[in-house]
Amino acid sequence: MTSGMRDDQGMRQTRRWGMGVIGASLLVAFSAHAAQPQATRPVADMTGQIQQVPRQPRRIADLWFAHNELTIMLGAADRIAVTVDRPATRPWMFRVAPALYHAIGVNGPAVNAESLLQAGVDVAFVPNGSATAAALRAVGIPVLVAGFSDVATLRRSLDMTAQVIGTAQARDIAQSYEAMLDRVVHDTRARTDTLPPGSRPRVVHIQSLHPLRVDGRNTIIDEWLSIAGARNAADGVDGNMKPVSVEQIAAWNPDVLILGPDSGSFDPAADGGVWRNIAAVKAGRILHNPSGVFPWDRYGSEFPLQVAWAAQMLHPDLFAGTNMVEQTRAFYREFFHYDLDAAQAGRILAGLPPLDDATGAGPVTGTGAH
Amino acid sequence: MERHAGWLVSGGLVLCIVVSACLGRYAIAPGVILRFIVTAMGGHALSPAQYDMVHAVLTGARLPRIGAAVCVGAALSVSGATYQAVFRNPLVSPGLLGVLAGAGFGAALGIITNMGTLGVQALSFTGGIMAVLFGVGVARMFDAASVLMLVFGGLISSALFTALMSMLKYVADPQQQLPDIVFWLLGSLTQVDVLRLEIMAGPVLVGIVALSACGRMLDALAMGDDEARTLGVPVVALRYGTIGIATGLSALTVSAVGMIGWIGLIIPHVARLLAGPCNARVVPLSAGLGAMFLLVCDDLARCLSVEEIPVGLLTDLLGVVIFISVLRLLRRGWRL
Repeated sequence: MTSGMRDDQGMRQTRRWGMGVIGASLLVAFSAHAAQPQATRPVADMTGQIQQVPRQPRRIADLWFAHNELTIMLGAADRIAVTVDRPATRPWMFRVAPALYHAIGVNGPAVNAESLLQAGVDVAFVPNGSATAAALRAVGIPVLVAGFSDVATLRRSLDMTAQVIGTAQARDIAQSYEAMLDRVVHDTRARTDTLPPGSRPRVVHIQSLHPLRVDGRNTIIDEWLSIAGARNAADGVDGNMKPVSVEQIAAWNPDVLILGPDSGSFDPAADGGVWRNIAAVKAGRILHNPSGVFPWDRYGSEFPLQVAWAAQMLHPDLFAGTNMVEQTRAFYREFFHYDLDAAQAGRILAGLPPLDDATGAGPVTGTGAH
Repeated sequence: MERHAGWLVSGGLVLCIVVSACLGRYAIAPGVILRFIVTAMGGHALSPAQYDMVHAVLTGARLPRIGAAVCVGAALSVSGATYQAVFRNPLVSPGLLGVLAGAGFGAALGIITNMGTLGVQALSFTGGIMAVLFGVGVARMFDAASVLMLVFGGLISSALFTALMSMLKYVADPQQQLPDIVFWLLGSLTQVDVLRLEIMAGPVLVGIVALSACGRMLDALAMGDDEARTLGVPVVALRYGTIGIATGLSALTVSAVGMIGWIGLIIPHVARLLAGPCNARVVPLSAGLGAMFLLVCDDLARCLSVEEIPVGLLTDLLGVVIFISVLRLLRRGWRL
């Protein structure tokens, strides 16, 4: 037997030993996992599907942009291990919940199931129609569809999230929030319902100026416009973020334009001056939507603030007593446990980010760093 | 028919422009347009407020769009006719050397880096040109004079820039940037304004005239490289020169309005059906037909529904219908 052959045999033996050790380790790991099953409880998600979730989930993958805000509000920001939100696009969210800096940032709701396993995720929230849900369930991660599209489904999603988090604090906050939501909607409606149709301004809500996109019927935007005593002027448009032409805006000739927080800069002289001939621009009624933890105009828990803001801006005489700065500070104090000063509240109302981003922590992008 | 095709197409294009000026989501009756013209010439047929609004809609929104549709449609068709003549292949379109993939990559990069609308356009144009240069560079590594190598170079370049664009789509912010990229890729004339039209119109006109002037030499090239050389045609210079102009036209128009398919492929075939195979006639006729086709598609895109329909979708759908309709005639013409 040559020395070369001996080396070869030795290597094969070492390889066999290596495989044996890896196999044994995996066996021990699986046995340990099987020996200590986590206590679970059933929770129905937004589609009505029952999911077995851990009694006390400790590491949450929040894979819908709008849902992170609910989790934060229910006192579980420090349990978010994986998030689709980013400090650059949601600076107030990371300011209010700096624990998110320790979460793994992923780009969009399509994630790698093994990455979530590696991150120790024990429950995941996904948007409606998520293509990832099946892959996550296949590796044993309970997945709950958390999408909502109006106030009624927002409440259901909040209740479901509180159930998943499973703390008394989460349940109390959800109850308290829903009571406040009902109160704001009821009080606002009580005043705006008295308005004759002619006193309800026709509003176009612009999500993006370049390309031009507006929000139509069957959206949460349509809902808060109605509660705040306005009419959505985008006749014939159904759904969110629909592209339209500037000529179509001229045809609608709205009384008020509301520009979404991420809509871009508005130039009334653009498009050959078409904008300047629209009633809203002539009257100077161009409103910039506030943006806080999440853009107020879109799907999020700051909906009551949006209703109050829109009602006051559209009907200043009817809601003369509303102090949005104080209302915003009170909301953040109660539901985000964050003390805004008046200047910060003012920046949120102006749709501006925090003045500085000095949080002392940076975003974690690698897996396993938590 | 062949003799009158130019006049027919010119007349049809003028008619399309006039009809398009009367169409739009903001209702302006033809009578109002006439009164607007009277007022513009010093009369008092419209109130100042009415005049301002009609003036803004026509000159700010409608006419720039009509102008852009004419420019883009003409440029893409002429570009396609040139590519088909140079490569002696009826299935060739301006995207062959990777200009579309490169322009898409440039636009996606501009959207992700928040370069603004003109910045996106500039990056898209640069991306388109870079992609073609890369494809030509690959071809020159092996055989500069070979048409087949150019095709391979274009394939490699398209694949590379498509992959790079997919990478940018993957890292884009899914809430804002990704929808913007998708919308750009679908192609739309909604963002065209007077400034963009001014940037585009001059070079497009010069390019179309230059390529039309090369029609006779392209005819000679169609007989084969050696035959063309014996007729005194500088084959390599003509090939790279016309491809350069055609690519510039495609990059310029695609960077302004996004991806618009089929026009460069099918319109030259329709032009050949009307005018015969002579490129000196096919190239300018393609310009007129392409302008008409995109104008009609854009009229549908802005008028069919309240929402803006990406015109790229309509050119694809109508292109399929037209292609199927003329396929029998094309087979006879090209002996496929």
